[in-house]
Amino acid sequence: MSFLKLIFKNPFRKRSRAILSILGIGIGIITIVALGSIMNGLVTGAEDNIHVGGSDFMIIGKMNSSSMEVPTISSNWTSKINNISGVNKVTEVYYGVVFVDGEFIYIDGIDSDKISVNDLKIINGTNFREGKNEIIIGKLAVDKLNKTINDTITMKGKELKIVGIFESGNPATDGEIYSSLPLVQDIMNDEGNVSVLFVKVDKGVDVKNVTKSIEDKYGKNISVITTITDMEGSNDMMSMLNGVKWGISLLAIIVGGIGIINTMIMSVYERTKEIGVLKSIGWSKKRIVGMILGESIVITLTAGIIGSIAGAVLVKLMVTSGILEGMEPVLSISIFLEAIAISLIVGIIGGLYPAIKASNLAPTEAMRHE
Amino acid sequence: MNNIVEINNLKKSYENGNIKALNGVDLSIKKGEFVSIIGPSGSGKSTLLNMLGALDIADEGSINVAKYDLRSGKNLSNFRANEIGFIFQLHNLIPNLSVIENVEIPMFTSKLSNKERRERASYLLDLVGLTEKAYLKPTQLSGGERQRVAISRALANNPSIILADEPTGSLDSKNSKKIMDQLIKLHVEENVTLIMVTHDLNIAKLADRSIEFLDGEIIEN
Repeated sequence: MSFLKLIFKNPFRKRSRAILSILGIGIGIITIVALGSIMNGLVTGAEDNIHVGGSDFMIIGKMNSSSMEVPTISSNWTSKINNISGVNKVTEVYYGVVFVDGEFIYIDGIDSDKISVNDLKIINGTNFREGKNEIIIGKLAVDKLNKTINDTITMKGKELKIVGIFESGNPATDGEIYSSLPLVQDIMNDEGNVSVLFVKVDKGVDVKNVTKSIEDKYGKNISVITTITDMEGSNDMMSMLNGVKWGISLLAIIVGGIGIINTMIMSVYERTKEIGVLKSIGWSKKRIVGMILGESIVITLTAGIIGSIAGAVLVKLMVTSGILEGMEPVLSISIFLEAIAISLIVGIIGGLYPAIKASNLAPTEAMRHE
Repeated sequence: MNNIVEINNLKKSYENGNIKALNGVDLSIKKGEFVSIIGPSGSGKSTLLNMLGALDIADEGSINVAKYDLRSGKNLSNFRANEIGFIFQLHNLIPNLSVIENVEIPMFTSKLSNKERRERASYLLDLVGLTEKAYLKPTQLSGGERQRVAISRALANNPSIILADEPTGSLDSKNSKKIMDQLIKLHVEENVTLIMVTHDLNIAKLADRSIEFLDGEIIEN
C-alpha cells in the first residue's frame, strides 16, 4: 500500500459523511460550471453576432446616452466605409422587432443573396426574393408562431408570405424572421437606414489599421465594434453578470469550505487516538499534515469532478428543456479547469487547520483519548 | 559502554508539580536485554516508558536512548521511526486497513518501495503466524491475533528497542502465553532490547531483569 492509497482510502471510512461533504461542495461546483457556461455562451453569442459570416468587425450608430438606445444609421455609410482602404465587403443588416399574433419577434432585413452571412441554411422551401412580400422564418419561429410554408403573416398592413424555413444552429437566430432589407425598413418605418454594417477586410490587411482609419475619420458619428468589450452597454452588462457569477461562486466556495473544515475537524477528533499511534510509530508532523490535507483534497477534488460533470449535464438538460430559451451555453475546458482549481483551493484551505491541529497533538494525550 | 539506555536523575511532574510521576530515576539497560517494569498503578512505569519512546519530554535529568538525547527534543520522529517499536495494551490497529496494511504503516517513514514494504510486512506476519490472515480487517481477528499484528507492526522498521506497555493486559492466560512466547522468541532471534511494563509477576519473571517502581522511584532493580 502506498501513502497515496491511504489518503484515498481514509475519507471514505465514514461513507455517508464523505458523500454529504462531496454533495455540499459539488453543488457549489455545479453552480460555477452552469453559470460559467451561460456566461461563456452570452459572450460567445455576442462575439458571434459581431463576426457573423466571417466579418472582422461591425459598425453601429453612436449610443444615445439618455435613452441607452443604439440608433440606426443611414445606408450612405455603406459607400463611405467601402471607400476606406483595405475594406473588402460591407453587408447591411436591419434588426427590427415586430408584434405578431401576440408574440414579439425579431425581423431582420438583409440582401437576399447575403443570407449566408448569417449562416442561414434553407431547410424547407426557398429563399425570399427582392421586391416581393416574401419572408423566411427560423425553425424555432415555426413553433412560436404556429405557421409554416405558404402561410401568411400580416405586419403593418402587409400580407407577407412564408416561402422558406431556415436553420442557423444559433437558437436566437432560429427564432427570427428574415426578409429583404427594403421591406424590413418599410415595415419599421425607417427607410434608408440600417442597424449594422458588417465589414470584412482584404486578405493580409491588418484589421486594426482599417478600424483606426474609420474611427479617425468618422469616429464622431459611428462606433466600430470588434469585440464585445467595445460595446458600452454590453460591456457593463457582462461585467455585472460576471460579478454575479463570482459572487454566487464565492458564496458556494465559502459554504463548501466551512463544510469541509467541519468534516475534517470531526474526522481528526474521531481519530485522535489513531493520530497519537501514528506519531508513536514515527510519523512526523509533516506526514500527518500531508495525510489530513490530502484527505481533504480527495473529498473536494471528487466533488470538483462530480460537480463539473453534473453541471455540464444540468446545462444540457436546461437547454433541451427550453429553460434557457434563446441562449446557447458554452462548456469550455477553462470552466472545468476553473472548477477543479476552486475545489483544490477549497480542499487546501478547508484541510489546513484540521491538519495542523492533528499534527500538533501530543502523542501521549492523543493516545489517552477515547 | 554497551548500554542502549542511560537515564540519570530523570524527573517528570504533572499539574504544576503536584503529581510527581518520576522522581529522580537512574537506570541503565544493556543492548539486547529483556527488562520488565512492575509496580502499582500510578507508580510511574508508563511515564518512564513514554520517556523512553520520546512520547513525552522529561522536566529534569538526562535520558539517552540508542545515542539520541531525548531531552533535546530534536529528531524525535526519526528516533521513534528507526529505533523504537511500540506495543500497547490495546492493539490500536487502524480498522479500515487490512492486517498487512497496518503492518506497512510505520514503513512509510523508510525508503522502501511499495513492493519491498509489502514483502517485509508479509515476512513479519509470517513470523507471528498470521500469513493466512494478512488480508482480513483487524475486526475479523481475535484479541490475541490483533496483538500479534501489533507485534509485527512494532518490528516493521527493524527497531533496536521494543517498548511494550502491558501487551498481555487485555488477553486471557492462553493468549498471554502465546504473545509472550512470540516476544521472547523475537527478542532472542533478532537481538532486540525488550522493555515491558506489566502487572503480571509471572510475566515479569520471564525477563532478564525486573525493575520495581513505587511513587515515581525505582525501589528494586
